[in-house]
Amino acid sequence: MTRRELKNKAGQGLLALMLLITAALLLIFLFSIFKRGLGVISWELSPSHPGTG
Amino acid sequence: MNDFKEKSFKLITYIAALASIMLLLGIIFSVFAEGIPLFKTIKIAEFLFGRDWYPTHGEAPQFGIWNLLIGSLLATFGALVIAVPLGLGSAIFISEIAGSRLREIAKPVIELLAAIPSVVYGLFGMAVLAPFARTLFNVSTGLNLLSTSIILGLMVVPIIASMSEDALSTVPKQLREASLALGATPWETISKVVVPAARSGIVGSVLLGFGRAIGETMVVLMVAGGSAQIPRSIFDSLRPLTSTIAAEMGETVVGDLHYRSLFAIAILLFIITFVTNMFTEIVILKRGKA
Repeated sequence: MTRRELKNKAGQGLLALMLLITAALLLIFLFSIFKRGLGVISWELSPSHPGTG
Repeated sequence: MNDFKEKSFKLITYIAALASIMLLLGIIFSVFAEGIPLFKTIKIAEFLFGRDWYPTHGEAPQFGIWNLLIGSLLATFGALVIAVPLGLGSAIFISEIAGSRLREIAKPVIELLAAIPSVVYGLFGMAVLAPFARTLFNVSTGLNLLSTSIILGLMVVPIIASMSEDALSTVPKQLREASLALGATPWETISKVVVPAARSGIVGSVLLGFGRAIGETMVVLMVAGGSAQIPRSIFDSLRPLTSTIAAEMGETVVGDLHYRSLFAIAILLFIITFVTNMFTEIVILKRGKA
C-alpha cells in the first residue's frame, strides 16, 4: 500500500470514527436517561398501594 | 375577490412581521433601559474587568464580571473543541462517504440531538456525567469545566453537523468528479476540493454553534458548579454569565444595583450573540455570492 493510499484510508477512517463517537455519545445519553427514568415506573397493570389492600 | 384575498394576505403577513420586529425591539429596549443605569454608579471598566462578584455584600458590594465572562468563554471554547471535530467529521462522512441508506438514517438521528430540551442535557450531566467524571479522575467535584464542555459540546454537535452537511451538499458534483478524474484519492478530494469549497458554510455553522454555546443557560446552571472563579484546570468549577442571571435574578430587589447588574450582564450577552450572528450572516452571505 502506498503512502497516498494509506493517507486515504486513514482520513476516511478518522471521519467514520467521528460519526461513531457522536453516535456512541447519543446512545449513552439516551440509554442513561431512559434507564433512570423508566426505573421508577411500575409496569404492573394494577399496582397495589400500601394501605389500600 | 382574488385581489381582496391577496391584499388581506399581504396585510396579515405585514402585521405579523411588524409585530415580531416590534416585540424584539421592545425586549432589547427594556433590557437596555434596566441595565444602562448601573453605569451611573459603577464604571464600565470596573464592571467588565473587576475580578470580584459579590453583589450582595452589605457594605461594599462588588460587581466585577471578569471571572464570569472568562467562565463563559472557557466553557464555550471547550464545547467547540469537542463539537467541531465531531460535528464536522460526521457531516463530511455523511455527505461524502456514507451510502444513501446510512445518510438517511444518520442525519435525522444527529438532528434529533438538537430537539432534546437543554434541561434533559443538564440532568444527564448532573446525574450521570458529573459523578462518573468525579470517580474517574478522582477529583472533588464532577461539576466542572470538563463536564460543562462535554455537555455543551454534545448540544452543539447537531448544529455544526447539520449546517456543515448542508454546506457540503451544495458543492457542485462536477468539482468532485473533476478531482477524482485527475487522479486524486477520495480523501484528497474531500480535504483539498470539497471542504475548501464549503468553507464559508462550515465557518458559519461553527459561529452559530458558538452563539448557541455561549447563550446556553440551563446546562451551565446545572453542570458548571457555580463558583465565580477563573478555573485553573479543567476540573475546577466555574460560573458563566448566563447561569449567574438565572441563579440570582429571583433574589434581587427590583431597581437595586444587583438587579441592574444582571441586566447589564444580559446586555453584554446580547452584544456577544448579536455580533456573532451578524458575523455568521456576513460569512453565509459571502458564500451565497461566491
